[in-house]
Amino acid sequence: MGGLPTERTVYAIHSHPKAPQRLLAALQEGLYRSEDAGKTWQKVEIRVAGSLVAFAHHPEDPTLLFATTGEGTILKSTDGGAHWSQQP
Amino acid sequence: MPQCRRGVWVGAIGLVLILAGVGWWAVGGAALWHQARIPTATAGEMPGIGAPMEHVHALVLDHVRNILWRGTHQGLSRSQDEGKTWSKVEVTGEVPSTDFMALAIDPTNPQILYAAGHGLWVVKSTDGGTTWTPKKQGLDGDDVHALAMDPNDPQKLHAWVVDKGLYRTTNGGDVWARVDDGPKVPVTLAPTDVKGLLSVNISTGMGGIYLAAATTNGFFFSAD
Repeated sequence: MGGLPTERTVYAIHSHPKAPQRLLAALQEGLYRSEDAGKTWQKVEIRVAGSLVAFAHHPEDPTLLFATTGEGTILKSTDGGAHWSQQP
Repeated sequence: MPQCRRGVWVGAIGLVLILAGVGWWAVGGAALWHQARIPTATAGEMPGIGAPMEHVHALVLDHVRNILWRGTHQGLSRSQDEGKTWSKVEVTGEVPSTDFMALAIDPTNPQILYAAGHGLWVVKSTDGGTTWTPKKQGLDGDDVHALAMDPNDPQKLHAWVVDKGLYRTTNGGDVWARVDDGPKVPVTLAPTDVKGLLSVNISTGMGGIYLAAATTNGFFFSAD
């Protein structure tokens, strides 16, 4: 159970129904991803200003995700949240 | 190891242990909540104070029509090009507020959407987001900040009502029932500000799945 305790604000969390072991957590400090139901976490590099505040997913495709910042910038991932690209 | 008390969110154990069945249970509809640990950036990595959350709060995908729905303090908008461009949605029906802080969409029928926000209570659309109807019976407040839909039962949703607690419906919003106070800060047991709710599709072994909450004091899990 790696990781540090946190008392920080989590703005959004995500888990796909077909891949529930994979978790995403959006904090002010960045985006974190777990592939083992929270046992371990890795920080995901996202090049965007502001915090992510919401996620959207395709119900049949666990790899396809969208996320938004509070300012409305949209990011897309096609690998379940490991990598993100900003929508033009 | 944390103390666990009925009806409050306490503790500091990880989700894996929780999912393994350690100290996670619910009694009489009053869920026991646990705070999960996740890593955070070191002080050197922290970017400082982040941007305030002024506008966008919610995002869902209608996978059938390929529409992204976005909820903001100023209303509802949608995109048909994966978020490149957006158009404001003129909502009709009995909509008490234009503040859309939370959205949920039925994965089996994306024509059915739920929304909630400041002064909005919970509203529901069954025609793809055009017409909305209040679904507030049983809710004790109109300031609803978060929604979570059970992916296995789209009629079952949870809602977070500010200063009132966690509510649940099992009939598509027709009637809501209060579940508990929601997460509380460990040790002090002060209430937390819930930013989002999520149904996690892992069985509790008690007939339901887990419910997670993103809060100003970390994120928490409970048996659904």
